[in-house]
Amino acid sequence: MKRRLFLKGSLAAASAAAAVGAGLLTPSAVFANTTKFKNQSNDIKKMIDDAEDGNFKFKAPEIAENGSVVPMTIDATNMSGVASVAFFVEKNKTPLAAIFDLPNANAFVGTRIKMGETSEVTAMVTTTNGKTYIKSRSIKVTLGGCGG
Amino acid sequence: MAKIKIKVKSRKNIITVRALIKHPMETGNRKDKGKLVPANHITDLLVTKNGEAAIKADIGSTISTNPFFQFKIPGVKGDAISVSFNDNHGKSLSTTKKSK
Repeated sequence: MKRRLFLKGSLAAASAAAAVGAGLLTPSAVFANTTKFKNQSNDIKKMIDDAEDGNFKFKAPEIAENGSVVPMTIDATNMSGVASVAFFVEKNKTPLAAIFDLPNANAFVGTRIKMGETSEVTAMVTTTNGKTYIKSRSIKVTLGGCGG
Repeated sequence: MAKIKIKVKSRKNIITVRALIKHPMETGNRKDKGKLVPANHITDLLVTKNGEAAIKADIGSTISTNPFFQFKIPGVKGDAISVSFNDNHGKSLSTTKKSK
């Protein structure tokens, strides 16, 4: 009995996987980024346009040999009242890489990001009083990370 | 498939959290043998300290495969740090560890 159930279950899973592969499932499950995230990306782009240069540390390599793994760190522990930090890669399809809200943590975030090509990368820090600070750096990529 | 590995260490009342998540992070733009590979990536990440939210993150497919994150949270030895994520297929996973 159990075996039968198991077989049924695995069959259903397999057909679901096939449906995803053929693009039959709802588009939101297959699309690159959710629309919510894309909207957020656009909002942040506007914020960056009228932001001031910040006084925090943004660590990233000048030349990234492998674009699929580019390590970078934002260290804004010298600033007070940091609400969120974000990574923004200008030439990627969805420029916003990630935004971290920090309700109860120090302003230190390190992660690894994919980059399709050589591009300007912006680190953004917003404070609790609504101000936005940025720091940009151009990172050269010798091998793309987003499949060409 | 997916897996979270975390290391938490406190020093001078600051806990350093290092999390390595095993996840394919497909962008949905990459092609394999002429066919688009469907997107499969983490959409949000939550780090809590003793059940209280410490970091909330919205993550796009731009973060690299098997994402690595490093955070600093004020706290002392013995605080329970938990890292959890949701991906675009609705899957979620969480891991909790006490700080050393």
